[in-house]
Amino acid sequence: MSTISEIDPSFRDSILSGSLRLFAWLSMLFVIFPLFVISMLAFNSGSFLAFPPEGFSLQWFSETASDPGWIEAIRNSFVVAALASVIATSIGGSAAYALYRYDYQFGIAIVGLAIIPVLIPPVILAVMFLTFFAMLGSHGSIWNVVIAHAIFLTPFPFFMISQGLKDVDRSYEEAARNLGASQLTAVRTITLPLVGPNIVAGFLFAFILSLNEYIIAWLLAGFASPTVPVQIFTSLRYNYSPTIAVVSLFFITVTIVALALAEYLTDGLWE
Amino acid sequence: MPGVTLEGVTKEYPGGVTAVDDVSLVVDEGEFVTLVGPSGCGKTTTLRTIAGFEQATAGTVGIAGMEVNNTPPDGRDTGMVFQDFALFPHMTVAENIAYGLEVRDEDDETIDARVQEMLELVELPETADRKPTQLSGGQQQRIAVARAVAPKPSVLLLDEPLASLDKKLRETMQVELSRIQKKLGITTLLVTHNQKEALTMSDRVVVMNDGTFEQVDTPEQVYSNPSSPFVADFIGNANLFDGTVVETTGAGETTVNCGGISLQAISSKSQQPGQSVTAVIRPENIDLADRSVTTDGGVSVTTIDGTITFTQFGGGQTEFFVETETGQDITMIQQSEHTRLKTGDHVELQIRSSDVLLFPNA
Amino acid sequence: MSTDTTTVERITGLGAVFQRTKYLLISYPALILGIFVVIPIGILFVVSFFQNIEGGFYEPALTLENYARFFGSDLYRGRVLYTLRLAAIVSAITLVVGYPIAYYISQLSSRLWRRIYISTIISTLFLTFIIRAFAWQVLLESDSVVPMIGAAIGIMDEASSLVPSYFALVVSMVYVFLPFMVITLYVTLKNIDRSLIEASRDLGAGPITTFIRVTLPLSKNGIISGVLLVFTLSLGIFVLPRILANPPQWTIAVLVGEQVGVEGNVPFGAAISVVILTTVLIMFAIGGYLMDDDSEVTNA
Repeated sequence: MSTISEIDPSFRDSILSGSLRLFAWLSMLFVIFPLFVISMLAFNSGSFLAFPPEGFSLQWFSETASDPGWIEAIRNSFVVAALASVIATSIGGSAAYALYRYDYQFGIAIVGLAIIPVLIPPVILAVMFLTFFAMLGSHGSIWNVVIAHAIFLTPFPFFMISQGLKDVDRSYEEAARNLGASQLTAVRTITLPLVGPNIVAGFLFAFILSLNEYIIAWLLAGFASPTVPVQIFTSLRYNYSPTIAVVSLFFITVTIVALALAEYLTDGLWE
Repeated sequence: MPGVTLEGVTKEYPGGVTAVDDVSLVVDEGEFVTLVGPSGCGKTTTLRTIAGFEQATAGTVGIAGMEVNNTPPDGRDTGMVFQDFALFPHMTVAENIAYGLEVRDEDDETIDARVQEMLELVELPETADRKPTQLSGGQQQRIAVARAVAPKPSVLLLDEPLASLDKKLRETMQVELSRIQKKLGITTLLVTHNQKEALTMSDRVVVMNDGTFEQVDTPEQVYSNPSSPFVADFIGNANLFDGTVVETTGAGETTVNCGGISLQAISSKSQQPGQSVTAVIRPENIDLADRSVTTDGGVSVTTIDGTITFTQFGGGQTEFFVETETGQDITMIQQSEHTRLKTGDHVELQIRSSDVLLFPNA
Repeated sequence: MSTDTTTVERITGLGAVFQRTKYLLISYPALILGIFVVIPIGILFVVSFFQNIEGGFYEPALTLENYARFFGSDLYRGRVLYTLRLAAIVSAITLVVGYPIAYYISQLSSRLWRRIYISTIISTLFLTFIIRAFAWQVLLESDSVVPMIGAAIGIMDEASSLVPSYFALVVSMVYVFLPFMVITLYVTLKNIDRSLIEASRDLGAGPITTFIRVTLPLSKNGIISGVLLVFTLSLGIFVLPRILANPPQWTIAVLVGEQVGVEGNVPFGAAISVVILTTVLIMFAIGGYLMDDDSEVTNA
């Protein structure tokens, strides 16, 4: 330590912060690089997945667009994601608002239930729901995936909306009621606009997580009604075609756009 | 027609906490009443019970002659100014003021006219299109008032409206609020812990303590004729002494022994010798003694010797902490420019018996 | 003072409406969560005692054979230990790599840059593990970039495939979980009062000393959360070991998936799941206990 303290302090400071910055940049590169790789692969003119790619071509895009297997998978993924996210947001949102507005003796139990799905490893959630639906006599149905995803995703809108509500002073609703608004009107005109961004962000979160979820989709719907991740998995094992890269690129783009939207709407989601 | 009536109103919380204990009050139409008391005395709970945010556990609440116990807040004809103003951040000033009218489905013309009228009432017409966060504290205050009275409620409720303002602004706003209230002639209830506000702004003052109304009177009466040591201590400054009555004469002149000081007082109620009492003397009523008199204007006088232990300069007035020769503490206030006293000085204090208030201890 | 309890309980008119809305509102989420969370967990537990039948069926029973098979088998016991060790390694590496990143971002003065960094990191979080696993598989293949560089530098004898392998597994897991660690640490770090750092510098401590004696202890909660998160995720990850590692290197979670999805032995899979779930709960209990200790600012 003494050697370091003998060096001129400002010089030492800049070395330290410089190396820190370098490390951070390299790490970011490390994080982004594989995604960059996939994107490159999508434009590959060769017929196999390999990096570096042989040449530039858009052939795989048209291949993917005309492949019924992929089309079905993409459609399944989006339908499941949309439905599950709406349900998850409704459960998470109503729980968040109820806990914000009222005091319940069993309030802590609700919070626990709302959060638990994210603590359980997805593979176990998958097995759980598999047995649950089996008891009800339902096997291999895409609707099971919708329900399982809805529960699995509930913690995210719940958390986001709770955070947003924390910033909404309770006296706003009271002021509105004092001015003559019914409880419903007060929520609609005051509280809702103020947490609107959080609701949308929570929905987007859930949506993307559903799109990208593999194990629950696989165990509950299997190869009968595959979602994109399941289809990718099958392709990786069996035909290993660059169409995987195309679909991945598509998903990456959707993810980034949705997140940028959420970030923009909430004006600094993570602050 | 009375503006607000409270009859035997009690608010109990599960768990046994009684925030408001059997209080009754009639506020006349157009009257400005202040509820004042220390933190936790129940004044805000009382206000919120009138507004409808709390349900009375017993008793009746009436507004403009109608019983409103089972009416929700949106059905009561009250306008409330919240402590932190609660101006809707996602709406402009004009939209905030218009809110109460929009909710009542008034037509656009009426709303626009009313908003304009309100902005002129609080003298802030230029702020119409700004957001609340762009206003200063004092401006937000005034807009909050404008918003509350825009729907023409019969009662205006203010929950510690000046608490978050600095001193200069507070004094300005006190005048403003009084002006607006007089102009509108609206029944007003204000809650504050600041006794000065209570005295300057109100027609009547309610001093509240521990859930009950200790005294309901005009500011002058509450100040000069406090009904209990608590009121005397809370409103204005006070020196309190425990003592025992020694003797009384026919004219009400009473001698009280306060830990060695023989205090001369005038009491309207006859006190029995041996009665335990609390004597209250306001610091501004203590003078430096003029040795040559034992009476002052026909009123007997108590003289006490002591030493100044601490001096607190406060601008126009200076407060002197005096330790009497009997070992008790007494506070005296003098005009700063008329005094040359300092810490360590020996003083002789003089108190007129008519300035001593006596309260029997239960 | 009224002590009549019936006065308090008998809430009429306005009060009754209030109560009704209050319970009506919570009944929707409470009911759904109750049905679809509590019951499935219960069923999982119950099924783990069922009897397996060939071909993906099972019949109700109360047998301990699933648990007996699990705990009695060297394979499974060993695999649990292997998974725990792997999780620990991955957590440690992720912590060491992620902390400087989180620290760097937290002390950036430009809000825009902070948002950019954090958004980018979080974006990667959402990509399915499969896509990221897939990316690494491509990179680590025999005629791909990484092995070629490795051979050129001399670390490797020849440019052979690095995948599937333990190395590929660890690298990909660190890669995939890094964002979780960074975000968790970042949230804690950014909440550390700047004036504490300034006070330390003002008292004469250099940046390294300040870091070790002030920042690090204050970020203790973040570290524990981050490690707990990554460790738990490692225990439960299915896709990465399945694709990027050889069967002997598959984690216990993969075994569960294989048992249920391929072998069709649901009761056994359920039993293993219960074991894993219990482990996770214990970990959280430990973590929660550790985090309850108030972090101390070290004595200067």
